[in-house]
Amino acid sequence: MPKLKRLVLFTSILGAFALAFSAGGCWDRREINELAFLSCTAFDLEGGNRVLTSEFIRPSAAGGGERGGGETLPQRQALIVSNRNKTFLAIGREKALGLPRRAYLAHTAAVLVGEEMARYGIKEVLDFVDRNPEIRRTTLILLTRGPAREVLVRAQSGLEKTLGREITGLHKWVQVSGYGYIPNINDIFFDLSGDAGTTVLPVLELSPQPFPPILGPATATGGGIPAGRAGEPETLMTARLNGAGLFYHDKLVAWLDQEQTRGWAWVRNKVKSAMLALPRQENSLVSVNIISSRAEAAIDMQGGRPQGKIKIKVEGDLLEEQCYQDFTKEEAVKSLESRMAAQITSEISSALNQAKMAGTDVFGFGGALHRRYPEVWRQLEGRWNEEFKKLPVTISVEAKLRRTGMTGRPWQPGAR
Amino acid sequence: MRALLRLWRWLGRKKTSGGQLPGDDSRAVNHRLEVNIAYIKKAFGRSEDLVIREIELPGRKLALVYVETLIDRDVVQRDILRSLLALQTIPLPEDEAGFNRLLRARLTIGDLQEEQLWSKIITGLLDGKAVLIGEGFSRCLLLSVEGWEKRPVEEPVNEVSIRGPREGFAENLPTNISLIRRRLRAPELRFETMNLGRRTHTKVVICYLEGLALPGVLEELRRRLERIDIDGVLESGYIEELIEDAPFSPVPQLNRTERPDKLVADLLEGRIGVLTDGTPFALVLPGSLVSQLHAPDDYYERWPLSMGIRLFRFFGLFIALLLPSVYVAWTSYHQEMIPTPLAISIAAQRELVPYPAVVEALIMQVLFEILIEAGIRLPRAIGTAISIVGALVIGEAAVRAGLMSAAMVIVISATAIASFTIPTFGLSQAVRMLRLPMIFLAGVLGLLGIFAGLMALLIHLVSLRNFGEPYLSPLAPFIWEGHKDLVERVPWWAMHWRPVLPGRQDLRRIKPGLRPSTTARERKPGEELETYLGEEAGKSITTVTTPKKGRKKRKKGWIKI
Repeated sequence: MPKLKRLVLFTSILGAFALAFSAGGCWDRREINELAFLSCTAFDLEGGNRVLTSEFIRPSAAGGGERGGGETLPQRQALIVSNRNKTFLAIGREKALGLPRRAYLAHTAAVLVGEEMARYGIKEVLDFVDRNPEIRRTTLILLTRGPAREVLVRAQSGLEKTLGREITGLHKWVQVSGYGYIPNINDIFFDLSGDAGTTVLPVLELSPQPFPPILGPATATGGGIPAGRAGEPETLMTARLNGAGLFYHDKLVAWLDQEQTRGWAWVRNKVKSAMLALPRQENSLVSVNIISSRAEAAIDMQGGRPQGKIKIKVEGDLLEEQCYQDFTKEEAVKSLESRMAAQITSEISSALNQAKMAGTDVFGFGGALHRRYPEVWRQLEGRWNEEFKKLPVTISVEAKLRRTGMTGRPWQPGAR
Repeated sequence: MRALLRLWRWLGRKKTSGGQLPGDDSRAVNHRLEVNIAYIKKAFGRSEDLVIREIELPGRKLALVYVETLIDRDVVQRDILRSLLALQTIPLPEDEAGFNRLLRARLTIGDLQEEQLWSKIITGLLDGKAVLIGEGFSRCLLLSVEGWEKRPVEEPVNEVSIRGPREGFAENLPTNISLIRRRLRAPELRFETMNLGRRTHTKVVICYLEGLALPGVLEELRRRLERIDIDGVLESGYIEELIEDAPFSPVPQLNRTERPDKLVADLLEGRIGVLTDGTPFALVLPGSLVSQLHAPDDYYERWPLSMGIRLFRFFGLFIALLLPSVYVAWTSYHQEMIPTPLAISIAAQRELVPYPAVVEALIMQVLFEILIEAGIRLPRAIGTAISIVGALVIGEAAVRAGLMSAAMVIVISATAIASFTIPTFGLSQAVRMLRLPMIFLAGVLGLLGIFAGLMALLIHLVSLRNFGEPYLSPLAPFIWEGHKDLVERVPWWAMHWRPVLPGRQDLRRIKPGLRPSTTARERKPGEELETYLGEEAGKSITTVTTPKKGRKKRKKGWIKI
């Protein structure tokens, strides 16, 4: 009996090893220096053809030693390849013909979708990205006005060495401004499979900056132009986030500008921090830094019709004022708080109107309705985008000013 | 095939054994002195250091025989020769017994015994005793006059400690025994001597605490030691190889130490020490993996710090074993697991390296092992030169030349440093050697290979037993009590019980309630020591019942092996 037992044990261990060895092996080996790391890729549609533009990191340039400084136009340390074909995969295969290394997608930081592609539908892009075993669902996804390829090719970076890194950095810090947020593929799937079936993608655009940065028109003497390079400065095209695109199902239907994007972000709790510049007195502004914001979107049935409700509580610090008003006085604080509330309300209602016009419920009222009144939802489900256009929404903002910076009463010349 | 078989037989043929010591027979002392002297001369041949000093007393001939290089010359001249020559003036008794009584009365020597068998006498001579043979006598007198050069007690070299005694075992067995005796003044401390080695007759001493060491283990040890029949025992390693449980295992199964304090601590846990004459390393058994990761400092320093340091040490073990292989697996199979900037940087560094990462790692590792080995062997004077050359060659030039990537150099050196956190050299050697197959597995199968390797290693370690004790206890047969002294090290006042398996003879090792903050003033009425202990107070406990709940459940775990 023990002999039999041992035999069974032995064969099962052997079997396990055989399985293990056949599952993986040295034939799967790929040396890290034989890979072309994809950093960022752009999906475009151009007249029925798919265009895939990819940014591959050049490790020797990106990871190697420091090179001498000097005021040269910052170069991206990447190889950009663009191909056109019937399907994205065909492009990938075609690209392999001209690429000395194996394209490795696991480190892809971001995916850009061009406007035409987005209007046609991003389903195809999502499918391609999600079906690929290497690309992660945490890859960021953004929208561009016009072809995405242009942004990818022309964007230059001041700080980061690739556009992918640049976007990762934006993703980390953009929520501080409150003007946007960058979702990843997983967020998009989550949004689109929700009841409303809508999503919002941030817009990446090119923003021209004179380089080297000079103030005013260039002169022979000043302006910070280095010697030997007088004349017209070059233009540095940096990538920046500006606004967002609204999607109904997988199609782009409308745009939000920067303010409206923040209006949407308030409601979806995407604002970590924000700066409000509020008019206070004539020609003077007060800047308030929002330090916390909690939003709640709710829906209720009143008189047999759904009624939306948005409630937001924000808290802020006073960080700058141009009018030297004494904020140790309560009424000054009170009136500033109501201004904060008004500003936020206007941002939200602007975004709400835009969404209503497009008939895309990016605020998630549909889901709330489904959860709260499932039987009503079943009736409205099919025509929710029409219904949403008519949905009355009340916005209430509760703003609090918590601190006034390091001083209470402003310093004034001559005052002690 | 047949030729192979013949080769196998030829390799396994019996060799005629020599090694019969002249004194091995059971011949007894002759009553004629010349015959005896001739016998000794024949046995020792032309040994220059054999001294046979014949003394003529009135009416009696004597011969004093000793090996000059093993005795204390002063003692022989002052205490033996002088006393013997003083006998010339007095009348001597005729019979042997009377004469021996007289010698006992007159010789100023502590230890003397009568001996009849040549085997014992020759052994005595080789032990450094002087032999006194008388004409017409049937017995010899063996006089203890040993004295040879010995190294003084010094600080242990391999097991350095920050806080703790500066004494280490020397080569000399009596010195070592005295070092233990001085620390452990218990009458229960036992030393059992054995002579091992057909030609070397090395003294081997088993030491243990009666009542703590498990009788079964002790019996098994005796049996295994007695089985040993070998030409010579020069180091405790000879014995270790002959008595260990799994001879093909890469890990050292018996703990070894050159610190008397560590050995005593082990004795107090119920383990057994084996001291070998001529080596400063004592063997401790039953050994376990966990106790080889404990340093004596852990118990001397403040406990929270020791606990943290032990954590690092256990972590160091894993780094030492796995870091290069994980690096290889990551860079050649699982690039998605490396953060992007690091992946790019590694890729950039490897741009010039022509080999795959496995080969690179293996080359580096082999180079490094050679460097370490050279560092041990080379004379001290050129040590610095070699280390500088090694550091420059491997650290700088190899990277510059594109032979190695800088990341690999970092990985290998971090690994090397981590491997020196393991307090026992034997285990750190084992880890160093296990690293190569791990790298190879990582190169062939990636992380899957590493886990296959780890699994195989774990299966081996779990199944390993050392004199009945599971090698991984208290980890693998999970014993809760043992976890007070594992990666964790609880303060002494909380370590109520001996680590359970080796010391299940007498489990309690500390009186409860010794926690410093519970002073008499703070203690509440119900918390007096006696009430806490209940009836068991002060008793030597074989089966433990304590007032605490849940103890009973644990008791099961202790008894079962």
